[in-house]
Amino acid sequence: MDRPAAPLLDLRALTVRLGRSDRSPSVLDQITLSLQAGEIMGLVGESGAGKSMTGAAIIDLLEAPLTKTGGEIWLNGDRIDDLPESAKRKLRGAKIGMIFQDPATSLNPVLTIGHQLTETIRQHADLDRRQAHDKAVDLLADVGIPSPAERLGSYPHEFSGGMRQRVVIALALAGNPDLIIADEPTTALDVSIQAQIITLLKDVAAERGAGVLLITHDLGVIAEIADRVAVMYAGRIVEIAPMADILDAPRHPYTKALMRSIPLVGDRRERLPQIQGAMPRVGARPPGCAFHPRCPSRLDRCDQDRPDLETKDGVRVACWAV
Amino acid sequence: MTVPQAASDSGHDQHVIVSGLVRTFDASQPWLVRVIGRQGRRIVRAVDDLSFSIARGKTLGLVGESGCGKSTVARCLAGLLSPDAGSIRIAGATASGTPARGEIQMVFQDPYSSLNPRWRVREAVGDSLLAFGLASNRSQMGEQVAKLLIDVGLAPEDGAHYPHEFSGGQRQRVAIARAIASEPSILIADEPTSALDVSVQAQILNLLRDLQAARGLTCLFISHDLGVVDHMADTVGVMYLGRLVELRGKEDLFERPLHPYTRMLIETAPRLRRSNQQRSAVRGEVPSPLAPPPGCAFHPRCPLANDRCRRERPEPIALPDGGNVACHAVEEGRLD
Repeated sequence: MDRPAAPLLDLRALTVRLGRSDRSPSVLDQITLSLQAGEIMGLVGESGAGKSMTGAAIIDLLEAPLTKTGGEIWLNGDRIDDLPESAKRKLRGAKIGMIFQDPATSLNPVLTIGHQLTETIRQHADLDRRQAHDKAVDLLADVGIPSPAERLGSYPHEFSGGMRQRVVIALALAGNPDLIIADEPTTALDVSIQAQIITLLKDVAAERGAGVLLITHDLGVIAEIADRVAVMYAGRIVEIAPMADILDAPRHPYTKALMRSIPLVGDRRERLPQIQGAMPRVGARPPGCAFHPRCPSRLDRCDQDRPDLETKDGVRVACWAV
Repeated sequence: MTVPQAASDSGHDQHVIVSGLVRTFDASQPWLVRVIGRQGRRIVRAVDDLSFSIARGKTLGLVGESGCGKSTVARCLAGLLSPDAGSIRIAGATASGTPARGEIQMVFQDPYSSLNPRWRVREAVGDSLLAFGLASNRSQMGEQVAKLLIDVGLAPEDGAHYPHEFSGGQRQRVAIARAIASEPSILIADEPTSALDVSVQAQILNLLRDLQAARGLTCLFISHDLGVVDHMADTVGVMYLGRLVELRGKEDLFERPLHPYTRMLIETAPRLRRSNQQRSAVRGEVPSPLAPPPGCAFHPRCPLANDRCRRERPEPIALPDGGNVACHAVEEGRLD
């Protein structure tokens, strides 16, 4: 595939281990993916696959003993993983905005949301109180909070879960980031509110031309808004494809099995096809392809040789059987 | 009041009959705060005048958003909460109307907190055998536990381990083994797969269906996931702020939903399909159960609401297909 300009985000063989040694068990194993400006990429997988870890590694919020032991992270053509801590601090919020799963814990409960918003805005831009206040009102209006000027004086507990997540999105947008990393942004919300937040994310990304890395376990959430999807299994990316391909013609046996095992409204299947077993834990991952003990299309070599991502018809798949 | 019959199974005998169930909670501030702030008591009607029945061997699915009272219904049925009003009758129960001990069992949402971390699996599952007198001594208990573990897809040796040694899906299997140990005829599953990954969810749903078929269980299955409920249930009830707004056979409900809230839920449910049309924006959020709107509780979000909806609370009306729906717009034929 041709890539004219430098991609917004470029992960090259990103590896994170539980410890500094090269023999420590790997949590993320050679994650390679790139994201263009204005693109929404879904990062999906089951718990423990390494989705959230990938997000944390990009903004360098890994806590010991987790250590990035290899690979590079590039943002807008600049390498960011070897910057000093002070420079990384500036990137967070200004270039990269984060939205976390639980809106109840990502806001400070004892400060008004106006306080939190203007503080964040002034952190990233040279504005006086008045200007920061006006910008905060604009941001709240952008994320669909009714009567934003009055709501600035409210505390987080005065908002419902959906409204709180809108405030969190406004905070993430405060520094005008190029990249938004949203880690399970709708998981704590009710179904009817999920739809509102997804639509909002899609709209703000489109208006600002920001790239979005949307981390979720729920394929249904991203089916309607993601341009491309990266599927993770046991710390590796097993497939990267346009959303339509994942929905209509998934290639990797894991993606296929995962898609089939989801019960949908209106399908009249008596039994759900299930994947036997469970995803191996960190440190107990089998050699070769980590999926081989559960894989229906296993070949002889799968338990020894580890497949790497290979490009076929614009789809990248890591599987010997494909 | 008449008990609405579930759509597709009016011919079956009704195993569970719930009528006029009410359960309130006192959410008041402490006494001193009330006196100083001149506030009254605040009562939440978590379940408000609910009636339904479940035919023997069938599954009723309950759906609704958080705070709508689904779990309170489950807990009342399981006997973990006592209803404030209304009755729960179990057919074939003892003369007093209370079911035999161990007749109703429950599987909870979170297998990480529903199992005692200090008990081996054998003890967790075997305890109810001893409690209900189904095993007279330890060796008999061990044999029966081994059988139960095989029934839920675990190995007999797993009985010697502690819950933390298992994955979430395996723990939920243990919880299911514990629930079926007393040979209940009614199984309540409250969001049994919400804490699990999708590939594991399929395993647990298949297991529950197999057990239901093998043991003829009558099930109350609660989930916020419409796809899961469609897969598991025969009849589906939709709850909104403590009320049952629509109760119908599964096909009728999902193919021809009537209540505007049911329609909204089905429309906004995530599906694995790319639709070019924008999701229709759903207005507003679920109001606080402490201060439900007057009239129909859904009217502030309803596209069809009129003056009557704002004033008068709709009661369930029977439908020709055997289900019922509580909506003025349906009754007046204002539905498109």
